[in-house]
Amino acid sequence: MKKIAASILILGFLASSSGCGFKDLDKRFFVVAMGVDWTGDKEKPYEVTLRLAIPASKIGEGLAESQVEHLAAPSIAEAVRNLKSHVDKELDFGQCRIFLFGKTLIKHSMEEPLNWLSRRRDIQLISYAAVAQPTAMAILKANPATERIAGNAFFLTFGKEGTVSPYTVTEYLFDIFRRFSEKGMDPYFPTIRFDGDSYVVENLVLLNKTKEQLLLNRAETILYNLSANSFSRSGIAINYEGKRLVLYISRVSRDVSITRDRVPTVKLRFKITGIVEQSAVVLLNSKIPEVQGLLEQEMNRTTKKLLIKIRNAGVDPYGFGLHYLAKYFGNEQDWKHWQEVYPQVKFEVSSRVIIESTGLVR
Amino acid sequence: MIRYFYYHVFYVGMINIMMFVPTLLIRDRFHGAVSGMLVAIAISSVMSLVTMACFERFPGLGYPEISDLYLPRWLTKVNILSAALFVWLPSGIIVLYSYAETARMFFYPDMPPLVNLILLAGAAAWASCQSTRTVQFIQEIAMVLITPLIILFLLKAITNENMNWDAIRYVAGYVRIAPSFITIAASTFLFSGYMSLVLFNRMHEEGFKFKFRWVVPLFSSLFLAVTFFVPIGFHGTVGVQEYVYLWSMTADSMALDYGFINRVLYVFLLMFTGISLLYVMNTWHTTIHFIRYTLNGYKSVEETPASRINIWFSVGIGAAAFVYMYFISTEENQRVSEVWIITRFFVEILTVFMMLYFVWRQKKSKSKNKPRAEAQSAAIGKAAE
Repeated sequence: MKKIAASILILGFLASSSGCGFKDLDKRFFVVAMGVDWTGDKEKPYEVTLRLAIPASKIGEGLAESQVEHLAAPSIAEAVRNLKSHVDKELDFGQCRIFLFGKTLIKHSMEEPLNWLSRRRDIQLISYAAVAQPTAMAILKANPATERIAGNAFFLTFGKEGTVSPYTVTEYLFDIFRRFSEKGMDPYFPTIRFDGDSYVVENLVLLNKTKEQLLLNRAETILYNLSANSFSRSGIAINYEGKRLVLYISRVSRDVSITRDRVPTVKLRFKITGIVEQSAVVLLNSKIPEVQGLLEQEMNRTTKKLLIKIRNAGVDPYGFGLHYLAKYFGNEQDWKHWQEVYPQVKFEVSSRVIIESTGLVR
Repeated sequence: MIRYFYYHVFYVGMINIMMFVPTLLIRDRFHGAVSGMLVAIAISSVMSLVTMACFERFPGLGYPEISDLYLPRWLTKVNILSAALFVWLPSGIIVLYSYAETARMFFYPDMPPLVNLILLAGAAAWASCQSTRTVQFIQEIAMVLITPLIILFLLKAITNENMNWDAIRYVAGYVRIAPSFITIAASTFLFSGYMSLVLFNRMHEEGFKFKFRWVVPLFSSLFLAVTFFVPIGFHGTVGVQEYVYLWSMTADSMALDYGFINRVLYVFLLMFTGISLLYVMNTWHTTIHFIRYTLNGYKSVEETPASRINIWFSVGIGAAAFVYMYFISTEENQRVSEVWIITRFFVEILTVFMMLYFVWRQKKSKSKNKPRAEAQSAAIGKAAE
């Protein structure tokens, strides 16, 4: 009798507690990508675009279907709340792995979008973030020809499972949050545009703590990725005896040291190992040291130029400031000093290029 | 069976995340956390090794029995009853609440908070009302299950390429600032696993010796370094203070590219289901047995089936956790844990000195009065049975 009473009690309790807000999978709309644009409008400055995956029975190239919803509102939170009334299922951000910010938004200020993202508990910190050209809405409305699963082209582009391109600098959301508040380290975003059938990611936008300061071109982006992230699979090209010579970089290691003079000098050293990918000139063993020297000169020259350009823009995506503080166990005074002298900081780049082989021919 | 003791050291070393220790340390990262941690490592290493050496002299006896040998009965009773009610019981409740909230936040945000708590409190109460030996077995099984997850998680964290070692080095440079008290108190919590001896020493047989006792300071120091520096490496020296669920967000910053699931966060939460339940089970079990000792001097380690009084106590504790969660918010829970951490620090120091006193009394009586000492060791032997 006691047992029956107890089990009835437990059953009753479980039955009464099950009325929670859990929604089945088929009652949810998975947001696979989200974009935020700045309209410049006084009343409704934020335009939020959501790409929602539509469950499909057939999977195949170009068959991925998605629904795109967009709405302008005074804030992102209000826009998302309002968008809920535009769809018939519950919005779920748990699968959203990419956040796009419009070109105009990044020129204005990133403060509010980042605040919204950091407060939401269902946003993954390992999502990718990028700047959309011209607008996030245009990118999200585009339909890549080879996409098999909605939003998958983004993940393959930025992640390491798909293409691994030296032009693509992957930026995670947690790293964005870190860089936007960190001392002596500034944020950056890769840019993404649509060329008619696929996404193109080949530029980098450098920001100070609020907005865009500098846009790196293609050559600078690949060099940044090489010099800041030690990203191999990249290349150096020179003109050798009137013909183009391209070195494929298979391994790269870097070392940064900063002197403690009144105006510090940043010394960057690279060790680059690679193979010759293309050279119309026959490379005999005797010529290799000469070619290596030329490659080293090219690397030093272009990197130094890039470093000075970035310094003059007043940003520090490499994190030299933090490295300076870390190296000398700095305190607040050192940090103030660094901020004062950063516009005059000197750079020294030295590199060692080793040609492992010239490919299958000389 | 010394390995059971080391399990205590391991899971207490990790449960600090649910006790808001990282938050306290991070808050003071520029105001003496690093030096505080170093001081805490020194203090705790001494305290843990001394306590272990003391308990080695009383095989098979828990703290209540030892205390009874040398102190008046009423004092022992007051001591262990207040230790049970103000140290052991709240620690389990605080951890249970903070884990329940974390899991609800990330696993099933739509669920009403109390349902989640009922499930966890039920499991912990059920486990804690068993006999001491059963609790030890549960502990070994749980440790075996979660160890692969722990290793995976720690490797993933320490070898992560997104970790910024410059930030870690920069914060470590603040070792020159004088230590702050709260960070010392908070850091010593990671070493507290040895305090489980106050009850679980009952399991140890005559003539036992702690092998590999250096494991306690070594592993706890390692956990302390991980718990403080890894979040700084991931979120930067400034950004790290903004997170409420600091370690969950750190776990979420790691990706398993080729795993079954992409987010390391779920591995982390799964791991902490095990560790939290272990911790809550052990603290509540200690509470129950301390209360029982004050009521009727009960000190057996084996009992099948679990006696009714255990079940009633565990149900009562579960209900207490429920009431606590109903009235206290997450923010307040954090403040309660701060008070608890400081209280625990002083209680621990007191316990170590009491143990030293008992060892001194034991030595004195042995050398002074041989026949009496024999009678006493006979009494100890009897108590051990």
